Amino acid sequence: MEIKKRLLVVDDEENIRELLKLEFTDLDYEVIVMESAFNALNYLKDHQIDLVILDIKMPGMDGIEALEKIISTQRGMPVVIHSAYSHYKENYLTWSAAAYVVKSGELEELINTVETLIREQG
Amino acid sequence: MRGVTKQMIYQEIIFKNLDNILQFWMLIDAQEQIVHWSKSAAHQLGYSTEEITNQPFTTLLPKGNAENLFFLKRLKEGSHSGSIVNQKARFQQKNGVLIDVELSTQILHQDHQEYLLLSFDNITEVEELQKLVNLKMKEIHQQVHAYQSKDCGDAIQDVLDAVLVSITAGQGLRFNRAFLLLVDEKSQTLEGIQAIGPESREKAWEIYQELRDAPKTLTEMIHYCHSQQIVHDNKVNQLVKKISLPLTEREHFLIHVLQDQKYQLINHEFSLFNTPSVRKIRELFQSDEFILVPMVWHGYSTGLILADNQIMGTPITNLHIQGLTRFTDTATNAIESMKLLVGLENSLHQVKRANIEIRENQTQIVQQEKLAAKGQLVTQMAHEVRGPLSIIGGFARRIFKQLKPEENFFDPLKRIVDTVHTLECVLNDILDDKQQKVIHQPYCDSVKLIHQVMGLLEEEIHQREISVNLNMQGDLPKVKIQEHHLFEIINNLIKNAIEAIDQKGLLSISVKRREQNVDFLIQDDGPGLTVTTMEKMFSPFFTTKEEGTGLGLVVVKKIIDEQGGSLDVTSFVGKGSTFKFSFPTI
Repeated sequence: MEIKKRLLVVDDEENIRELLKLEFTDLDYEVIVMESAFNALNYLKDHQIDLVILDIKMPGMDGIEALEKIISTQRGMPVVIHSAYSHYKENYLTWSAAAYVVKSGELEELINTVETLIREQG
Repeated sequence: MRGVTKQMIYQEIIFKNLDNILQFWMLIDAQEQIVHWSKSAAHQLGYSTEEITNQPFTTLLPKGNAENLFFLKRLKEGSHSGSIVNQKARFQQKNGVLIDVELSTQILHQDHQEYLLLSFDNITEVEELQKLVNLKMKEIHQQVHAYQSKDCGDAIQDVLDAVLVSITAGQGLRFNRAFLLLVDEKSQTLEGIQAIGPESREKAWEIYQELRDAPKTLTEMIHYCHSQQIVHDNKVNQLVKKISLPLTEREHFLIHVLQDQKYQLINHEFSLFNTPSVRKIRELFQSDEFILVPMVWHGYSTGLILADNQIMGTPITNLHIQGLTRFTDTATNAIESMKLLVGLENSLHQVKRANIEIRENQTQIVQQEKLAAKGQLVTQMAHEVRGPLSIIGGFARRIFKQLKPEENFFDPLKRIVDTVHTLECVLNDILDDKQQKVIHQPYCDSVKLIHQVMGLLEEEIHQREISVNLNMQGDLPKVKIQEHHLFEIINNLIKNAIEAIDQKGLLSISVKRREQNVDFLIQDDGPGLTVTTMEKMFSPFFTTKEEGTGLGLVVVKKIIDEQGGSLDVTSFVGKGSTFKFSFPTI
């Protein structure tokens, strides 16, 4: 039996966490959700994860700071920024992310991006 | 002996010419009776010499003043070494008219008797003009202080009228006609400005009679002249306006007198009487004797006063000349002061206007800052909305994917999914997010969109009790515009129409094919748009609504322009507005 790929969804909005968990579970991923960047970083210390979906505007540590920390500790970890704001794209600190997807009711773009990145990992 | 004789001759010369030296003089004895006086003085006050000789001096003072008895006593008390110079006082003419005089006195002694030599000048016109100018000055002063924007040009006109009336109809000067010419600084010309005088001898006689029976003050005279159309519309006025001479034309006698700054009597004795320029003026005014008095203000030549007795044909005497030259000084001062003040007043108005403009600009800047803040807020809001919208859309699609078309909730869920999609596109437009990888069809079904919008607004239309007249042609071809763009246009225009109607009205929507286009017509019977609103309605953040963003019509116009459509607005206040737009068919 193939081991499921493990996704970590970091978003302070419960509904988004729930939606993405449902969608990606349907697509046969194992989905772990975290409501804060701080918890996510802790989790990453001793758990194996294949890809992170990361919100930017969150209370406490925001996604940009979290991204920097993830990249520095988990070299090669694909992180997909998933934000309602498109203008952070202009911020070079987000450029180290593997992809930047603007939140939408249509999840096709996010799903396609994630699948592509997972496939590239092999 | 020879010396004494000579002295006597000299004294004789002076005594014989006393009338020319002093003109208006009288000798008063210790009993305050007028014992002797000059013809011109008696004439000035309306008496004959015989009438007044040995009459008490108080006869000349205004009647009924208890102080009259002490007038001369006080005068003597106030004198220095027996003389007083240029004291202002008031006399009363025989006909009862009061005149202002400036008098000088000298106490004389002869055979132990004390006499008083009193000479005077009639300064009624000077005084009256000065009073009028003071009044006008006060008016302008008040206007300046009250921040009124009334035209002060009237004040100058009033003073010009007063000057001309004083010369012709006053108590002392009494010329038949007077003409005023002023230097125009801008064009460097001498311009005929205004004139006064009766048109004919008959008219003159008529006026003379009327004034003799009921003497008038200066202000009354001005009104009288206006009522008789003597001031502005008459022939002499038209005559003087024909004069316009460049200041460089020095050979012209008018310019010559102006620049020479000395008065000039023009008659047969004048050396240049037959030169062309004099002849021309004589012909123009049909006058062979007239006096020219230059107006000099602080050394500058500012104009000319020309006066004559052409109507009655009486000669111009030294008395006339002396009176007019003295009066001209006051008139010049009055006119130039008024001009200065009015100029000042105008400058002040310009400053005030500039101030108002600055204030308006400031308000505009503040307004723009507010609008910029509003714009930021709109952007912020759009972002805030996007998150929750993605949740609604996400879950709706999850359920929708699992439903089959025949199931109950298939249709409502499809509506939610479609509308969320449209709204996301609207958000992207507002936020100018072109990066979104959403594939749009470059055409859409207009009927479907109208229904979609009407579905969203159904509740509101119902609440406001608005009747809808929906007129859509069947089998309409698709139009060349992306769905969310057309949604945005229709949604905005219908919402505007509903808000214009407010309560109980008719909303008409029609969609028709016209050749290779589809015409959309959205019509309301609301209050209509004013011209100002029509001009501004496509400016960003202009709104007539309490809670509008002022962006709706801007977006509509932008989309229509960008997508190759056309927009036409007609509106009548009180009847309503019609927005018509078209897009080409595929």
